[in-house]
Amino acid sequence: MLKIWAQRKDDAQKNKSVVPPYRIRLQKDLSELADDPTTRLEFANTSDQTKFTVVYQPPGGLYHGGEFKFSFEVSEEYPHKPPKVLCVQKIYHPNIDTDGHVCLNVLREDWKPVLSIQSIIFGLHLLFMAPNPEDPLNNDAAQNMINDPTGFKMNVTTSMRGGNVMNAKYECVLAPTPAHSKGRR
Amino acid sequence: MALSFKCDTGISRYLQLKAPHVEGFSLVNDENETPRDLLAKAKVLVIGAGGLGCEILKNLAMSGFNDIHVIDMDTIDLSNLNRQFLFRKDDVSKPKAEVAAAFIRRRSPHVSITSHFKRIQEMPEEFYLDFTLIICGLDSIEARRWINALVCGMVEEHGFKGFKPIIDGGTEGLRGNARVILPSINACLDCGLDLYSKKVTYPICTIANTPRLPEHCIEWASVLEWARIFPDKKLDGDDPDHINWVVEKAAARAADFNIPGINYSLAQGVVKNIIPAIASTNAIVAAACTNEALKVVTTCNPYLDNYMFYSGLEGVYMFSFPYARNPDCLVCGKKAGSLSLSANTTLEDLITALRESPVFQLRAPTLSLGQTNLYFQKPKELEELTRPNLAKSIGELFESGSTLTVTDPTLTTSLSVTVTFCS
Amino acid sequence: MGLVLIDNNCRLWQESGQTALENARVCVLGSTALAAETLKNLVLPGIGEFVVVDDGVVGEQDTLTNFFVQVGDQGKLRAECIVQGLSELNPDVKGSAVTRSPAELLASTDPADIQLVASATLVLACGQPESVVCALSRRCWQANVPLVAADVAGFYARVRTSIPEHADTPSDLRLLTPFPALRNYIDEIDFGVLDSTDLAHVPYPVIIVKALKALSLDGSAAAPTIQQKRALRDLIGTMAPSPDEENFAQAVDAVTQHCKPYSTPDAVDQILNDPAAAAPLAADTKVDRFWLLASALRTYMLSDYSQGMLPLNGSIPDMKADTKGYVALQRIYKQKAAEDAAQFATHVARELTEAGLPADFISSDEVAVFCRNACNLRLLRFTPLHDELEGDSLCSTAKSLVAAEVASHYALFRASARFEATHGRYPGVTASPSDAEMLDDEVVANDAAELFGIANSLLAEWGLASDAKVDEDLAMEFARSGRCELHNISSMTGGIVSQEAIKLITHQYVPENSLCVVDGVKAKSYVAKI
Repeated sequence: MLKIWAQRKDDAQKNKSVVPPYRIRLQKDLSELADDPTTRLEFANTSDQTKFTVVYQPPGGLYHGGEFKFSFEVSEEYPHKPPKVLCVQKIYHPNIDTDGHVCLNVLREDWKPVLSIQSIIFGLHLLFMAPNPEDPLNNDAAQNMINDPTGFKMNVTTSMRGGNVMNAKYECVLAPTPAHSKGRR
Repeated sequence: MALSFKCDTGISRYLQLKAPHVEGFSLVNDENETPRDLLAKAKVLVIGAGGLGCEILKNLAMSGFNDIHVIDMDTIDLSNLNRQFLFRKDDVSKPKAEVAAAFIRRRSPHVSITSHFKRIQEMPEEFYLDFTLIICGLDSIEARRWINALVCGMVEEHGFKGFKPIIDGGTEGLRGNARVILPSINACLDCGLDLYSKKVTYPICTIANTPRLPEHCIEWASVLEWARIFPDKKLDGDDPDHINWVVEKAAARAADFNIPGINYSLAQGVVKNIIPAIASTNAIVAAACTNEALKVVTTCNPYLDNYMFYSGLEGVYMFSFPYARNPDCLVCGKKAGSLSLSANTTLEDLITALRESPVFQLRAPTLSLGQTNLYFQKPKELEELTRPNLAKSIGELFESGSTLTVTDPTLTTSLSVTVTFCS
Repeated sequence: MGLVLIDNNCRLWQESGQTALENARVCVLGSTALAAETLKNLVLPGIGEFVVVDDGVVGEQDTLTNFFVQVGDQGKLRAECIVQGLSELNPDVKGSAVTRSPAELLASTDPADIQLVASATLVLACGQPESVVCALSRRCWQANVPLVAADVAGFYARVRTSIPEHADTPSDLRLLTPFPALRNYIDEIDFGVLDSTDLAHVPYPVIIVKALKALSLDGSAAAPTIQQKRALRDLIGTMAPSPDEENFAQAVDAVTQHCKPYSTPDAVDQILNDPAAAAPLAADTKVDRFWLLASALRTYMLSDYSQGMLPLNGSIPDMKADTKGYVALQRIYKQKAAEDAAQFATHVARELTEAGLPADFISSDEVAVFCRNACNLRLLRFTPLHDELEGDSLCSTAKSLVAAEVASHYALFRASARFEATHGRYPGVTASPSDAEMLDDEVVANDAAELFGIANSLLAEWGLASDAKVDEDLAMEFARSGRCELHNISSMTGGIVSQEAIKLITHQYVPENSLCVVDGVKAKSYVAKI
């Protein structure tokens, strides 16, 4: 074993802390998030960064004026596995079901360790700017969007105010102060 | 040390005869130890007493190792018996580590074997410091990464005393791999994380709306339905009640969609994301691991550098190659530095020092110490929360000699900075 | 408990493979660690029955390397000891010992002794001398029984598979010439009335057939030209409701693979054209199910019903589609496959009647499996092991040893046997081990030098003198081994041998053809076809 040890090149000083890799990666992801007026983070417990809420206000599109909250949960397997993301409000959206599951490729089949929290936030942004009724999670909403775009637009507005759409009551998600509507960088 | 041996066959031959492939192989090393002494005093930890673990324990005992420890948190399940050959039907629901150790003890009474019915995370660092090397026969990436990070940290902290080679084996169906990890010398486990196959995932909209395969129905039951019905309970792939529930729900859904092929083993396989293990592949991979352990410990032949891959899908294919270290590895690629500052220095000045120092040249460093956040540049919420620390003196925030974890947009990985207080 | 125990295995080799395993009887010559470790991996997944042939007695070394003998077993018959230890692993498996020397058993003309080998499903020779391997190989070859022979020398092991033939039974959509049911189904789908969501979920075979029809390429006997395929892809592109629809992209990707006329795979043609397929009973060996089935397949292919096409396999790949569309398509293919299988079964029945065999001589399950895998049939032909060891058949294929970088290892295995024939002892082994003092590096070095010389002359005999040189260190390492068994290498080799055995018994996955050398120093295997 000494002979094996002799191969070691003791060039640089090495780190001796044993902070788990997921924490280091999360620190890096969070501290390098882009400045963005549409998005903010909320931490229920500030000493635990593995659980937080992303609060997002679409800068335009059908969902403009709303404020949407997503819970993020980062596991010890991050970034080998993506964080768990759920919409915490009941909303009317073709790609988000009423239990909060989000159909977003980077959250499942297309996740790669090189992606980051920022990539997911960008994916959520796309989901609100361009809902995709062809890969639906909420079938009724998707059919509605395809067959009656005008009606769908009205239903989105109604649902965001906390009204009923197709006999289901939705949560009021109107933003306290609407985001600037100039779009993202 | 007398050099007389009664037995001139088996491993003894290799401990006393010249090794043509080993440069400078000698019967007595710098520390006056013979290969035989090295083997006799080696203390080996086996992590996992499952399919690979049973084989590894047997192989170690039959290779002349005589101080073996085994740690496993699992108990024996009926479905283990078709490959975990140290267990019998009467052993079902007993701890794997204990039953396996008892079996080896009966077969080879001269071997000292100690079992630990525990999670690896429950054992302190001192426990791991005591071993010569560690062999992993695990099916979980999480446990592998945990031990890898621990051992990589130990070598930096303790030098040679903390140097614990890890020999890691894994199998999937007719394929498997073995690797020799020499912490701080060659690629660590995290350097080559992409060598481990990823969980197969299906788009959630397919699962929810357009299932075509039995796997889609099982994912629907285990991901969507489970979370809906039991929001606070975690699905346990080893709990037969849980899996039966999944089978029932998945089968009902599959019937609605005319999809055949739901059964218990498939459901468990999908939930646990396992490709079934079989005895023959386990034997090949475990033997490759213990063969390397023997060579590393005794120097009787060169050891594997550093990754071996086996596939029996088409013919017999066993191949080895040196997997390169990843300089940006989050575990072993971390760069380190040190700073000496007065205890009165504010955190803000420390950050300025990191930015202006020609050694570091950082742009916007974020600092933490263990679980504690010292200063976050972003997001706004964490920045506001940690901003008061900027004005505090570092003497107030941490002790001299503390090692901070620093990330920065200019670094692909992280940096460890040890700060000592000068007077 | 059988079902729970084996369900893991079934996920790898299906129920048909498990059944084959449970019906198999394996005969093993030898009872050292290599034999025991191999058998362990066959007993655990539930092989039907095993017989161990050896008259060896447990010595001290056995207690050190063979896990399945006990420390107190010294002096007992080793075959009996390992049968007992192995039988404990799985109460469903029947194990027995024949405590006679393999050489004597093979020399015996007693019909029962001949049958022990000749009626086995598979025979394994573990650590047997070349003379025994040759005699065994001859008997197995005559009886059409697969043989796997393995031996070890310290860190090195050699595995050789010798089988008269091995038919490996491990998908086509027929889009260019759709069968009537498929044609009707697709004709009834009208893209004009589908909305964009429905269009995004049409399975790609439907898209391709529509596009072929639109370009009047359907039913064509010739493969579309490159220009026609390009036009096809362009057309499919314009049919998509939006440019990045996954199912239309899949259709474009599938054009090359699926827009071609039906053709029977070469490997299957080869089987159908084999004289044995025309006259399965002509061979004087035992009646072979495989050739009876192949013969039935031949007459099926000549029938009007089949139009010269193999029975449809019936499975379709996963693809982007909604459940309804996918299941409908799956049903159509399955239905057609069932019709083809029923037709094929009538040919099998006729074959059996003509041969004067009972109708259940081949089970309906076996017929179904054969039919389903008809397009994947492959016949592997091996060189008999006795020809390799005794004759000069090596010359023609010796170059493959060089290409595989295994000439040195292989020559040293063969040279060691020659050394043993000359000196009555293996290189590196002192004449009488009982009075062995400390082993001498010099004895080993002298033997290694002689071994090196023999191996080089063997290479010259095989015509490889200019292509390969024996590695001197490797010769030294062979002499250093004294042909001892290291438990790790025996266990690793036992893993490989048992896995090959499972492939041969289940007829699934592809076995090695035909030589594999394991190098435990380098953690590599080398394979070559002999």
